[in-house]
Amino acid sequence: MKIQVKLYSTLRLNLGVAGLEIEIDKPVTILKLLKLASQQLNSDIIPELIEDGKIMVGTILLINGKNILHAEKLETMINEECEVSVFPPSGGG
Amino acid sequence: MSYHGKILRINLATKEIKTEELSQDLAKMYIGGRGLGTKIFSDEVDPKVDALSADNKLIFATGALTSTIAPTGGRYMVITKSPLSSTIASSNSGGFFGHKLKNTGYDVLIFENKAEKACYLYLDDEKAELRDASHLWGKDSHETTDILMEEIGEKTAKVACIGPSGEKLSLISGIMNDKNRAAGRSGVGAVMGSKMLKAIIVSGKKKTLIDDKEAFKVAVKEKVKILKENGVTGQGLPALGTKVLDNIINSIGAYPTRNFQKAQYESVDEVSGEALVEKGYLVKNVACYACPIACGRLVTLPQGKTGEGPEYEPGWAFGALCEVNDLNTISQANFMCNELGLDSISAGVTIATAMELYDRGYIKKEELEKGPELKFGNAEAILYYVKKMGHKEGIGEKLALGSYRLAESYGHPEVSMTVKKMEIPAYDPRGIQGHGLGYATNNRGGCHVRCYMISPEVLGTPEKLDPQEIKGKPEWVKIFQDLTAVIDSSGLCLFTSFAMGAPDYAELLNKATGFNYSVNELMQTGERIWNLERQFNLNAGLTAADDTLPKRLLEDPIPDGPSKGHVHRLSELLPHYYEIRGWTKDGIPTDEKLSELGL
Repeated sequence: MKIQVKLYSTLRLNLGVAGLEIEIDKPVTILKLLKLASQQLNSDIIPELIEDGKIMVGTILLINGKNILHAEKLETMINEECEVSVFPPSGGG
Repeated sequence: MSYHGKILRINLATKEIKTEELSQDLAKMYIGGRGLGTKIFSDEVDPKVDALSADNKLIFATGALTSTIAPTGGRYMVITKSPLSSTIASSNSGGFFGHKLKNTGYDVLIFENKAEKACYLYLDDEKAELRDASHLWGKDSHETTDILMEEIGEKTAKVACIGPSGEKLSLISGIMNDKNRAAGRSGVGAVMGSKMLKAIIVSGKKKTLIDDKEAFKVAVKEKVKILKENGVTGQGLPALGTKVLDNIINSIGAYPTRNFQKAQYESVDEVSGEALVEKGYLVKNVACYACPIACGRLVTLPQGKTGEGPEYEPGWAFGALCEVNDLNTISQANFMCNELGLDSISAGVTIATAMELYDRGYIKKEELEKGPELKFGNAEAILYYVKKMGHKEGIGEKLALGSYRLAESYGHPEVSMTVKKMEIPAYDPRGIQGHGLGYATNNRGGCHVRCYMISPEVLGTPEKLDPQEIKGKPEWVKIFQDLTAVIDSSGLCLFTSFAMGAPDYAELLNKATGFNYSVNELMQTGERIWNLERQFNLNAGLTAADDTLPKRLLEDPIPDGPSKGHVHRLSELLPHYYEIRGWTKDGIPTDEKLSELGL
């Protein structure tokens, strides 16, 4: 199945990439998906989002617009085609 | 200390200017800025006053930490009665004006009455003079600032002024300082215009005294470190400014589009904060006085025009809300608002309202007098009608009154997305329940900065709350409202609260003032300020019926996207909010509550 990963904020600006498509053949956790994204991007995006195994305060990870903090956090399973939005710690208006 | 202990009272009719003492007891009870200004104002002005009459007063108040080295300590507050919402108005601004205002040796300025001819106030640490401003009347905020700076010839002086929209009493006009910073909301520019006060120019060198200078320095250093190390204030805001939010709020399906008829915008990538950088418009970050965050944006457009912004809210208002996907035009509209002295949030929302009125056939084509069609998506229209609005020409007469009065004039107030007649900013309450309760109960109407529940409900600071959950939200809303009242009264920027908490503010205030607030006392001070504002509004004639949201947000579910199917659940939230506030079921503070707060 195809997962659309959209990168935002400093990730998008620093990597010069707005998003990527990841093909997976079995369900994976979002943490695994972020690792796959890092491999595909040739750049480790995990340190921008996760510290000591925990989602950094201000990091936003959404599956189809729903924050994974209200699901199983980094263990949230991705088991169908979806859009994953990745925001490093971001500010307000 | 950190106060000069002086108030300057200026009677614009008699030109009498006198200095009064600021009571330290009052300062301790209300901190400064918003709290202190509101206390002075509500003691002196009848809440039922006509906001544009000579009997209304206009107060400029600095905070306890304004013009200190505290991070972001450069803010000031304008307090008056709002001609837009008929509530207490207090409008906050950054830049450098607040810092220089306090350098004059005064904590608070009170303008009374109404001048016969256009005038401006020159104020430094030795003299205060009302001077003729007839040569400035009609000039925009940038021209006014340039002319005054040249006339005065003091490079470090700072100017706050109104543009043509304030002169013409637009109910959505603000007060501009440092050219592009705005005490934007609540129509405070119209009050200044009604008094024929075009500008204030401040200069001076009086330093703010600190109670425990060494300990204050240590505390400041620590707070700056906290702000620098925080992902939001140290990285996100400096990199993208407030416009980092376009994609975030759109992704969760709470990005009001087409005048709140949709909650996601398909062209968001064209108008986002990322686009502002990718298109090469961003030149550099701009910081206010003593700010380590620097969220401001200096922007140059391809045609060579330079200005500041747009911030998230104005960019959204002229963008998604009007379904305009041209970032260049959106930026120009924002520049125009700064020059005309218009509240750029209210201006954008009002044009979106006009677009829906046009779309539904309530505004007829003939009324546009051959101007561009007010169709959603028409970029040309937003520039054309902002100008009309700022100068009150043609249909601009109606637009200048704001969204509610515009929609009401066509017999369709339900098209107006306002609370207490003030335009709602860039977050759909149907997608973020606590934030919606914050809008409904806001003491100045549709405003996001008195209770920024986006922090916990979307951004996850200080902890992540589910935006659709309603349990516990009234408690959070109360804490955010009370804490914000403290921050606004201190003279600091709300953005510090992404990284700092009540104990941090207490420490800074205590070292600077010597007041020795406990965290509980400080939060109670915030609650006192909130209740004082509430009392003013109730005495002005507002009731619990005004604590509401537009019908669309309460009854029409979001049609699509991640928040699909949701409405705002105000009726389930409001009674509990009143209860924890210690108010009656009609939203009136009980005698016990007032007495507990010393009101």
